[in-house]
Amino acid sequence: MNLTSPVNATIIATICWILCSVITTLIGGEFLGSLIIVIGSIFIYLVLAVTLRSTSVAHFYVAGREIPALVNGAATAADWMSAASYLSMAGAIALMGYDALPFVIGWTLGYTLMAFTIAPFVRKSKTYTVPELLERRAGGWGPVRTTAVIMVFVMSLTYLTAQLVGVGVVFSRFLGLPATVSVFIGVFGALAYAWTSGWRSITWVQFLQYFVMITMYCTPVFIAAYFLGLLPFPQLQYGNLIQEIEMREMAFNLPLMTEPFVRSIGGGKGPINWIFFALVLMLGTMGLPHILVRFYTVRTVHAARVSVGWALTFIGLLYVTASLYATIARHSFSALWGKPFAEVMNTGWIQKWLPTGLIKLEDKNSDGILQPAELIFHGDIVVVGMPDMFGMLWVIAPLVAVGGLAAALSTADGLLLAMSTAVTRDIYKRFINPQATETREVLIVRILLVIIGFIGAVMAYFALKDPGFGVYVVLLVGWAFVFSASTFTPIIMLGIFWKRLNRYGMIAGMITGLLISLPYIILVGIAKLPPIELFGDKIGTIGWGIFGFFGNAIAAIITSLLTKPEGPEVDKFVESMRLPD
Amino acid sequence: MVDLKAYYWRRVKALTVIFLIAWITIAVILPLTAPLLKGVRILGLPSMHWYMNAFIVIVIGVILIFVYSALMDKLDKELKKKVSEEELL
Repeated sequence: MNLTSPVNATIIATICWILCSVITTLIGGEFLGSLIIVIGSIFIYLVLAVTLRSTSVAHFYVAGREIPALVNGAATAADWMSAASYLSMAGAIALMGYDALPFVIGWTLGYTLMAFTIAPFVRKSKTYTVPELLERRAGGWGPVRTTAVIMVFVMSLTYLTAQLVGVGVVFSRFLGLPATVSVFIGVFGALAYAWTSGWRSITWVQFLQYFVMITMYCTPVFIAAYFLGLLPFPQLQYGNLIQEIEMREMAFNLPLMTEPFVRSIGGGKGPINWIFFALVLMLGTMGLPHILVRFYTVRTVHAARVSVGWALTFIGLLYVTASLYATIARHSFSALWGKPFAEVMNTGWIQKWLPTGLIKLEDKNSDGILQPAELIFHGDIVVVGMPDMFGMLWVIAPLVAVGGLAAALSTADGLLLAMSTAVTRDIYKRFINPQATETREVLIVRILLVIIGFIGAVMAYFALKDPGFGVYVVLLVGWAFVFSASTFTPIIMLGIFWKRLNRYGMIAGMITGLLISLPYIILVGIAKLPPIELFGDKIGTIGWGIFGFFGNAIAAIITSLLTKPEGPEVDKFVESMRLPD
Repeated sequence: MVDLKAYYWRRVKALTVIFLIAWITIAVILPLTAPLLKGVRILGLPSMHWYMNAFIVIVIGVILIFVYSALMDKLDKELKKKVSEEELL
C-alpha cells in the first residue's frame, strides 16, 4: 500500500483525527475533545495538500487543466460558499423571512446564466487568468490587464477579510476562544493548502471540504427534522411547520414570515428593490475572479459546461436546506412566545446561549409573559444553536464548527490564490520580468500568498477588534458583487458575443460602471443619504448595481462603435473561443 | 469550412437566446410573480409563493445547465462529423 497517495494519506489522517479526538475526550473532557475535533480537521486538509505538492506553473495557475467535471463542481461550490452562507444565511431567512429570499436565488441562479454565456468560452480561451483573457481580447493592450488586476484586488481582498473574520467567529461561537487570535490559525491553514501546489492542491482540498461542509450542515437539521417528524425528505415536507409559525405570528399580530416585501433588504424596500438585489448578486457572481478561474481548471470545454451544473447542484443542496433551517429555528423560537418568563428562562438552550449575547430576553412590559418583541435573537444562533434547541449530543456542535471552518477556509483559499496568481502572472511576468523561470514564478506566488494572507489576517483582526470597522467588512462583501456586476461581467459577456467590442469600449465600460455604482455606495451606503425611489420602492446600494451593469454595457457599445475595430487578430481569438476543440 | 463555422455559431447563438429567455423566466418572471401563488399548497409543501423562490427555481436552474450542456454536446458532435465528411470530399 502506498502511504503517500492522496487517498490513502487522507484516510490515515482521518483515522488519526478520530482516534485523537476520542482519546482527548476521554482524558480531557468535552471541551478539549471539541478543540481537537475542530483544529484536527485543519490537519487532515494539510495532509491531503502536502501529498499533492508540485512546483509546476501550470499546476499553480490552472491545476494542470486536468480536474474532472464533478470534482470541479464540488470545488466550485466550496470556493463559493463562504462562512456567511454557512453561518448567517439561514439566520437572515429566519429573521427577514420572504425578504431574505433574494440571497437564495441571487447566490444560485447566476450559475445558470454563467453556464451558457461565460464558463465554456473562458475555458476555450486557453488563457491562465481573467486579466490575461481581457488583455488578449483587447489586442494585447496592457492597461486593460492592469485595470483588471486592480479590480481583482478590490473584490477579493474585502471578501478574504470577511472569510477570516468568519474563521474567528466559528472559533469564538463554538469553542469560546478569542476570535482575534483564531484569525491567525485560519490564515495559516488557508496559506498552507495553497502553498503546496496552488490551484491543484486547493481544488482537491476544496473537493473534500465541500463534502465535510454539506454533511456537517445537514446533520443537525436532519436530526431536528427527525424530532419534528419530517423525515425522510424534510426539504419537501416542512409546509405544516410554516403554517404553525404563521398561526403563532397571526396570534401576536406580527407580519408573517412568508409575507412578501414588508421588510427592507440592502437598504431598500419593495418588489423592485427585491428583484434588483437578487439580480445584482447573480450578475456579480459571474464576474468574481475566484469563481471564473474554476473554469480554467477542467479538462475540456464539455467538462466546463457540465461542471457548472454540478457546482449549482452542490450549492443548491445547501441553499434549499437554509430555508428549512430557518423555518425550524423560527418554529423553536415562536414556541416560546406567550409563555411565562420563568419557564422560558428554564429552557436549556436559552440558558446556554443567553450569556453569549446571541439571544436577548427582556420583560419590557413587566407582565411576566414573553412577548415576541421581548425575545431578540442574532441570526447566527440559527445554525450554531440548532444542536442545543433539540438537545443533541455534545459532539454535534463541534462537527458543525468543522463544517463552518471548511466553508471559510475553502473560500479564503480561492481568494488568496486568485490574487497571488494575478500579481505573479499579470504584473510580474507580464510587465516586470517576462523571462522569469518556472521556479521563480512559483516562488513569487508563494511569497505573495504569505504577504496577502498576512494583510488579510491583519484586516480581519481589526474588523473583529473594532465592531464599527467590522460592519463595513460585511457591507463591503455585498458591494464586491456590485463592483463585479458593474465591471467584469458585462465586458466578458460582450467580449465573447460581440466581436466589435474594442479596447476603448472595455475601459470606458468598466469606468462607467464604477462611476454609476461607486458614488451611490458612498452617498447612500456610507454617508447615509436617503436612497432614490423608483415607482415608490426605495432602491438600496446593492440593488442599484443593476444600473452599473447596464451603464457599463451601453458605454462599452457606444465607445466601441465610435472608435476603430480591433482587427483580424482579435477576431481570430474570439472565433477560437467560440468553436469547440 | 468557413460556412460550417458560421453555421455552428448561428446554432450556438440561437441556443443562447432560447436559454436566455428561460433564464429570465426563472430569475425574474417567476420570482416576481410568485406572490400571486400565495396560499396555493400542494401535498406537504409550503405555500407555493415561498417555495418557488426557496426551492423550485433553483432546481429548474440546475436542470437548465445540464440540458444546455447536452444540447451543446450534440451540436459539437454534429460539427465534428460534418468537418470529417468535408475532409473526405
